[in-house]
Amino acid sequence: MTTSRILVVDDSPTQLVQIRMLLESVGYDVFTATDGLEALEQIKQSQPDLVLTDLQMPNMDGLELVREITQRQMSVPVILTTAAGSEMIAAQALHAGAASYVPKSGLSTILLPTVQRTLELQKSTQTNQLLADCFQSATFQWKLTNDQSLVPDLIGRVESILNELADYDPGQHMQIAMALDEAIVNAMVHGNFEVSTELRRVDDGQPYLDKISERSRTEPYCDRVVHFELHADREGATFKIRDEGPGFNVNDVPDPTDPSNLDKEGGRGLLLINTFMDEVHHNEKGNEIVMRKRCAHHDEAVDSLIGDEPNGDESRCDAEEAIE
Amino acid sequence: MTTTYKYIRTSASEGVPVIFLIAAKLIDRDTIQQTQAELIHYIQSEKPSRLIINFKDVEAISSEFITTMLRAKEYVQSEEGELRLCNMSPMVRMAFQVTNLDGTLLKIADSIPKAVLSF
Repeated sequence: MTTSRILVVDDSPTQLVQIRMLLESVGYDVFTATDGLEALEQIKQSQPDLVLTDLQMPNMDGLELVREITQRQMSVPVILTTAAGSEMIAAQALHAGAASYVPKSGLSTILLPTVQRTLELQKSTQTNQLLADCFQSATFQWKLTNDQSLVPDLIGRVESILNELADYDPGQHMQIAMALDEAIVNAMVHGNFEVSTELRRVDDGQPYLDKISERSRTEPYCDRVVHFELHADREGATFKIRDEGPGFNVNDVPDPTDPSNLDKEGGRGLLLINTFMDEVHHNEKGNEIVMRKRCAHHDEAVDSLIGDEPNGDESRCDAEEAIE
Repeated sequence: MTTTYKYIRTSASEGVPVIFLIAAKLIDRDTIQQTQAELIHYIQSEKPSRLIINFKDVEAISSEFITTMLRAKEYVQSEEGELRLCNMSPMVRMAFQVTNLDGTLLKIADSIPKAVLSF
C-alpha cells in the first residue's frame, strides 16, 4: 500500500516537530511548510494527499490557505489545527472548504483518527482502477434549468465520468471544459433566454446581466430547459446540448476573426467550440449542437447521436439526473 | 488605505505594475465577474500608464473572459495607458489566437520580461 503523504503547515518549529512525530509514528510520510504561501508552492510541486495547517501564521494564515486551495481548485483535503478561542475562524474555514479541524488541546487523541478518516473519505472518492478498466461506455442525461451557477459543477461531474472511461490528458480535459461551458451557457442565455451576446459589451455587461435576470423570471423563457446528454466510451465522448428556444442559423453568425468584427461579441464562443472539439454539428433548427472529442482513435459513435437517440446495445449504463 | 483583492494579486516588474490572475479556471460567471470588477477597480484607482496581466496559473478561460480582457484594455486606454497580457498556457493562448485577438486588439507576450520590453 502506498504511504499517504501529508503536508504539515505551522510557523511554530516546536508544534511542527510534535505533529510530524505523531504522524510519522503511524507511518505517514510528512513534509512541512512554515506559512500558507510556502504551503501553496509545496502543494503544487509535491501534491500531498492531505494538508494539515495551523490557523494563525505570518504571510498567509490557515483560513487564507484554505480559500486559496478552494479557489485554485486543488483537490487536496485540508485539516486545521486550532487554538482555544478560534472556533469561529475554524467554522469560517470549514465553510470555505476545509475538510475538518482538530483543537490543539486534542492533538494527541483526535488528530490521528481525523487524519485517517479524512484520507479514507478522499480515497473512497477515487476510482478503483481495476473496476474502472472493465467500464465500457455510459450515457448520462441532464435536464438543466437556466442557472449558470450549475455549469461549473456539471463540468466537474462530466470530468469525473470521463476520467473513468476515456484517456484524455489534462489539456484535453481543459478543452472539453471550455467548449462545454461555451455550449451550455450559450443554450441557456442565447437559446432559452434569447439574450443577445452583444449586450455583454454594453456598460461593463450590466445590461446583459439584467436581461438574463429578467428573463429568468419571465414566461416563456423561464420555463425552458437545456437538455444535455453525454455519451462516453473508450474512444472518446459525445456531447449533445439542446435548448428550447427558437434556434438560430449558424451561417448568420458573423465571422469574429474578420478584422471588422474583432471588437464584436458574436461567434467567438462558437469559434472556441470548433477549435477545442474534434467534430461539431448543428441541427437544422439551430437549437442543438453535438460535439465529439476523441481521446485516441477515430470513431463513428457521433453518428448514432445525431438525429437519433443512442441505441441500448452492449454493457451500457444509463443514468438520468434532473436538476430542477 | 490599501485595497485587498481576492481574485487578483498586484506586484511590479521593472516599475511596471503586474496583475496576477488567481483563479485557475476563468470559466464560471461569478469568478469572471469578480475578477473583472477587481481589475476595473484597480485600473480606475491606479490609472497605470503601462499594465501587464499575468496568466501564469490560468488553465482555462471562456469567451466571456476574453470580453473581460477587451474591457480591461479599454479601461487602460481610457487612462492613456497600454496593456500587455503574458505567460499564457498554450491552450489559453490558442483561445486568443483563434479569435484573432492575439497581436491585433490585444498584445500578448511569452513572459513578464518580454511584456516589459514590448512597451
